[in-house]
Amino acid sequence: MFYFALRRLASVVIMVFLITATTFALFYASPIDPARYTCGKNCTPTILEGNRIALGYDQPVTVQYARFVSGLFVGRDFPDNAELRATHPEQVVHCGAPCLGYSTTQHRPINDMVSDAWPISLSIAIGAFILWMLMGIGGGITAALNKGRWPDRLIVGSALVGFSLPTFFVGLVLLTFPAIKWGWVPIPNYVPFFQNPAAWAANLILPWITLAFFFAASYVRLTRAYMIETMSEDYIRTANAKGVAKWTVILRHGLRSVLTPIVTAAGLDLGGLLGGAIITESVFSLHGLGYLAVHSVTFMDLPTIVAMVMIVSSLIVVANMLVDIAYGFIDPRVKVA
Amino acid sequence: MKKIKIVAGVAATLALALTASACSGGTAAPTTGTSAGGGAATAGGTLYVLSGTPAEHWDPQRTYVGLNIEFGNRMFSRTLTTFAPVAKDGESAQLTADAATDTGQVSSDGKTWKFTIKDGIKWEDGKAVTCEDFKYGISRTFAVDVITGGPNYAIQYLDIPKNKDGSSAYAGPYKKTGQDLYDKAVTCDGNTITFKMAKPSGDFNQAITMTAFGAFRQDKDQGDKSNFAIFSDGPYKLDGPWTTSKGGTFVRNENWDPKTDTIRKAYPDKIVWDESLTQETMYERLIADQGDDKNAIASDQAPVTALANVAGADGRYTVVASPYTRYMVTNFKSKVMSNDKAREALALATDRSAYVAAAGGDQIVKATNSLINPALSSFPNTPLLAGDKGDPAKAKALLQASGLTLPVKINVAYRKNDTLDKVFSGLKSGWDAAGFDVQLSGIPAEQYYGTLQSPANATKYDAAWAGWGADFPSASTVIPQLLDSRSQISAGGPGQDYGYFANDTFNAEIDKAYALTGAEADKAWGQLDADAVTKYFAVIPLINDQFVFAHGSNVQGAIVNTTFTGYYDLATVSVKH
Amino acid sequence: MADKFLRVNDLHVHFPTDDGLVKAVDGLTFDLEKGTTLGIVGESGSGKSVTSLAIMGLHRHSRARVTGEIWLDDVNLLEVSDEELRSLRGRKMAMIFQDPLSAMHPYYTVGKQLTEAITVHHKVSKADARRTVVDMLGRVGIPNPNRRFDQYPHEFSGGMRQRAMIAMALINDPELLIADEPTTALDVTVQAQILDLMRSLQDEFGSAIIMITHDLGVVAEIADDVLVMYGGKCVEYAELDDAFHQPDHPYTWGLMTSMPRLDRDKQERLVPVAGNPPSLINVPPGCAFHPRCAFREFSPLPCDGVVPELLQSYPKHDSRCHIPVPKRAQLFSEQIAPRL
Repeated sequence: MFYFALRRLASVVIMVFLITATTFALFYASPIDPARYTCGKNCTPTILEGNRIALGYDQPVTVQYARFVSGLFVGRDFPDNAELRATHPEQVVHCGAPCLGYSTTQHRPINDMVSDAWPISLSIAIGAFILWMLMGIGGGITAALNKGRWPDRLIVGSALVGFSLPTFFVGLVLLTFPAIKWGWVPIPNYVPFFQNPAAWAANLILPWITLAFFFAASYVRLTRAYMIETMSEDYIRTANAKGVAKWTVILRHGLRSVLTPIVTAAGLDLGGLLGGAIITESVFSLHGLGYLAVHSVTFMDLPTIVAMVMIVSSLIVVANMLVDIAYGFIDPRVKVA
Repeated sequence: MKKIKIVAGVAATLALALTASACSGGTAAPTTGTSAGGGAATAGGTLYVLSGTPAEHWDPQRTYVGLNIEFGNRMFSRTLTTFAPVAKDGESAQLTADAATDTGQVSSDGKTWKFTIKDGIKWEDGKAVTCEDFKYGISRTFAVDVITGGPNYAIQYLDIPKNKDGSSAYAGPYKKTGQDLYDKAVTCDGNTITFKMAKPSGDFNQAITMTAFGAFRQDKDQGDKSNFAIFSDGPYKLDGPWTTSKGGTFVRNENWDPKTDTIRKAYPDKIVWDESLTQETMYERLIADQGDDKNAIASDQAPVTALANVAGADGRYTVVASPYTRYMVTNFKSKVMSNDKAREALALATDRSAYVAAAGGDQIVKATNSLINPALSSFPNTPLLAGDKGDPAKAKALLQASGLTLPVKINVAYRKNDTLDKVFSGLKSGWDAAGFDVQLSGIPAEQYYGTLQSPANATKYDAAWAGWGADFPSASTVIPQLLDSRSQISAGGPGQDYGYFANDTFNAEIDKAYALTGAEADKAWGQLDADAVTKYFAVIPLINDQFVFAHGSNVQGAIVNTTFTGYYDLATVSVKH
Repeated sequence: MADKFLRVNDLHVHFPTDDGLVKAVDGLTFDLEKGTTLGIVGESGSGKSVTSLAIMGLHRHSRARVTGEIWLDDVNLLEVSDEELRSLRGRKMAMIFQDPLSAMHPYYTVGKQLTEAITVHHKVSKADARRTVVDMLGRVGIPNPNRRFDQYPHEFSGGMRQRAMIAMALINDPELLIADEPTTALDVTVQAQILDLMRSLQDEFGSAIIMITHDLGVVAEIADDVLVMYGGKCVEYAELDDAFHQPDHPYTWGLMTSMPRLDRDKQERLVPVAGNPPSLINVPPGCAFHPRCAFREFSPLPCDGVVPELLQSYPKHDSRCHIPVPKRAQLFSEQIAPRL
């Protein structure tokens, strides 16, 4: 198990580096000139060139990438100019390892932007996760046990609606009515959990519902399908034959088997969501990692783009790895090689 | 209490009228809706500023976006001169002294400007604002590799030689290369600052209303790190950090002396700037007017989606002309458009009503036939050649007399989006009816201007859509930027003169206009605009964008200053509480 | 006469489906004494498993329509409440299934599953339960039962799993044990061990056993009485010796002759029963077996028109066939017996 984890970790690291290198390459292959974004009106070729130097895009791609990678391990200075460090040290920003870079478009070290953003994405992801698991699994079990009857049709129908309505629509409706027009909940504005848990939850309830509505849909169908399949398994018959009480059979014998594939899917979904829910964050103006990612792409902010790609892909790859390892614990028949 | 304030206000206005240099001009009357909020102003309270566009820079030398210039200037970055607040939306604003004692003394040849800085203006740490501070601030613009994003008028106006590649010989106060050249162009003698111009510049005292000509404390300069490290010499200072995409809070600068400041009333005790929103959300909240939003004003204009609902903010919204004009450029390098009659025919057949209809109506855009926008005193108000709809029949006759074979194939470029797709299909009908055969080329936004400015495309398009807004209310920020071939056209491309218009007579007239001031200058620029449109047919102005702004019900004194940037003028805003 | 511990009376189990009504069990009557074993024989689809599930009450809340009476001691299993039934299951009556791997939950240890069988019916401490389970595992012949307690079903071999299942079924000392093809999935040697085990446990506990199988060899080993099912009905019901030495139904003859035997001449070919098992939706009219019966000509009544009744042919020996008993005896001794 230990060696398995170690090997997987190594492949995670390699994968993340490949992804970031590809991002760098793609950025430079694009026809859009990032220096233009900082140029404004009255842009002449000399000003454009000056901007390019200020952004640090005048160096060859490989040099820039090498600097980025070394920054992750030993930290970097921005601007990386020994002369400036001597004459005007107040103008130099020192970014300690692991240094994700400096955004010349937002004029901040990326580590600062990320440390501001990730608690928001984390809060959104966790709340939504709990909500959708409860809704999805609860709904799925109820539907499976009432297969063919009206509760089943109602739940599956709602799930279909939840899945079909785009998150931006649900989000906007929730923002417009309960928040802005009726004032039932405050207009979402992030309050850190440790500052005020009640306010934290009240501000996040709308994004949680928006995401849960969408994700719960697939979990309802998944749970329902697995539940129906599991309840027809032989070992359920055995449990009944032993005289085990009805709900114990459903939950301890039935649900336990269903949880294995469900938890796997949930782990992957959660991993992806931790990297930021782009649409939801935009709709509710919550500036998490998703918002940061979109913002950096819109303004061609390469350092931030690369950092975001790295973070998101790491989260997904690590989530994959954790789920694989967890599987060895959840299902005793599986031997994690 | 109230009485005294009103009297004081009247006195101040009279004083302004007496001291301001003549700057009469046209008005840009608002179209519908009312604003400003009634009743006398109350001091104190917290004002909320909602923004859907995160500020890229607060560093005065790097601020180029109108709304940041306006709010920056009114809160923490005083300039030598500025435009005074107005009493009604869209009224013409007077050029007034701000940090200086007057609006400047210019030599007879127009090449030297002198300003004396008032006594008693202090930074937030109590130190006095000196001539050196202004000199240092302006010099930062020259450090083009660090201080990016801001206007470069300092480089353009000041008498400092240029290198072969067009860059300035002075590389800014960090590298100090050419520092002696700068020190000759800008000199301090006690509190008097003297500027030497590269050529006669009658409107320099208007250019310096931009915060790029504001003071900056050398000991506070951290280069790129200073971007949001606001250090104030105005009525408000930043309290706590500024967080991009979130905002910050401004509190009173106790060291600001209202006696030195005739511009800013500084009524609110606190200003909370919230830029975490989208424009849509921001306007939904302003219209809904709940809770703290009653004490809020918009910094950005309303997005088109909000216009449908803005009637719900009765008495709290306003529609004004924006600084932006959209126009067509005719390409003198294309075979067809080098034909004078062809250009005139295109202009005659332009159906502006189609533009207005496709863009969503009068509240959003208004037809115009001048590049200069109506808020400027030099607005020539050139009448439309053939009415709103154009005259395809007349145009066709002209085209037939031009010697070209009908239908005349032309390739028209525009910046692709849903609105302009509709606009151009309407414009195309008008032009086709005149005997043109229009092929439309919609180019994606990020590549649009880059494509037009690439020398490889010099003959590709016969006409193109473009947009421009004056940087400050002098037409010298419009006409030369768009039509002076000497400063624009080079081996690297046409610059902003997308149509490669190059006319020596026109250029000579530009030089003459530069040297004039006041009403004479206005007349000269206005004539240049009219000539470009009706004599040379180098440009076909289409519409002026309109801006819609809204504020909460407790807000008073929110008036749009269309002369100075075209946003709410913070100087007179107060909150009822 | 010993206590009739289990009495099944005119049991019908019908399943309504989209294709029609499946008459899985169509009028079955039999009984069982304590300490004896009944072997129920038949092909797949004859209704054997359905019968056993009906006794256990495992058709409740499914689509099946169960009618008739099933008396266990003095309780009619078809009429009792769910609660009561659950308390009987696993305690008074227990069942062993065909595939022990799929019959046990893959995610819980064997020990835990056996413990559950106890704790569902009795309040005991964990330690006590563990002791009982380990003891039981030892008694069914699983070596190292203490270690095996904490292992998962997939870590057991096939034979051991079935032993564990038997342990699980017997752990509460049930009076009725239903074994549904318990050895079908096992090797022959293991099969013998399991049957041995069951017999010794029966001696020890005195439980009644219903052994459901399609394998006559198993029946011969363990059963006291034999019930042959065909098309949802009982076609022959007799004591073991009678059933084997004087089988009285053409289907039973078919079963016998199609059984591979060591003591038969190898040159002779096996004679399978011609045709296919009948559809339980469209049961053949008259005698369900008639399409496959080679002896129809000997019936005085139309086999395809009249349903034969289950009648006594000899003392304690019933069968369901139109052919007169003496004729059948003659046919057996002339045509069938020589081939056995």
